[in-house]
Amino acid sequence: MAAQNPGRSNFQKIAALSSLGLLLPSSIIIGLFMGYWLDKLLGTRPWLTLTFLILGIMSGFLGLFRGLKKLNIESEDDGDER
Amino acid sequence: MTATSADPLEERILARIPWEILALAVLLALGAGFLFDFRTGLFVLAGGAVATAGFIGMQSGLSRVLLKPKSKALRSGLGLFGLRLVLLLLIFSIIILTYPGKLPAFVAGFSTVIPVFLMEAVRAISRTRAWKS
Repeated sequence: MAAQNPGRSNFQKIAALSSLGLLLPSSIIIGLFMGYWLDKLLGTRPWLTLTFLILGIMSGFLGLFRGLKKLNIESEDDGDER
Repeated sequence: MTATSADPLEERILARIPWEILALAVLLALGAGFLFDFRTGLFVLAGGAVATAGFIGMQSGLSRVLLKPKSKALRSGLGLFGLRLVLLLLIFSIIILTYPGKLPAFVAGFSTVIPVFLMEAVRAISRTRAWKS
């Protein structure tokens, strides 16, 4: 596949790396804002912000690991095809 | 990502992203500094700097992990991501506990990574279209 369309393969790789790079910050941001909003709503500052920050970081890393595993498998498959 | 594994285009895009994140954070910090106060601008800038450092760290870490054999890759990957997790947690916890009011400013700076990635994605799509036609 990669040998047929090298340009497309590179863009796919860039897209995969970009989505991996975006995964962690977006999870952290979503977690932080949820925690911050809930803290303001319930008056529990800063505990829910901290809790949701930890949850956001954890989910980000989990997604990162999954993506990395998938990328590793795909690059191994590419190597086999060649 | 590295000289041995990547082509110049990929290398160029990945090298450009940290500078774009930082440039956008500086612009946002200037805006926040004028609109709110100097300290808010500083927090926006700090958020952008953390996002830039995080991207550079992840880029070099990922390339190292992907180039290693599978058994070693898992161990070094776990170490690298563990360290990142602790660092991020530490930075955000310090801000939450010491300057809770400035958290949105810091997160705004940290979020500059999202428009930059979207911009690069749009560029890549338009380039793919040109390549197809």
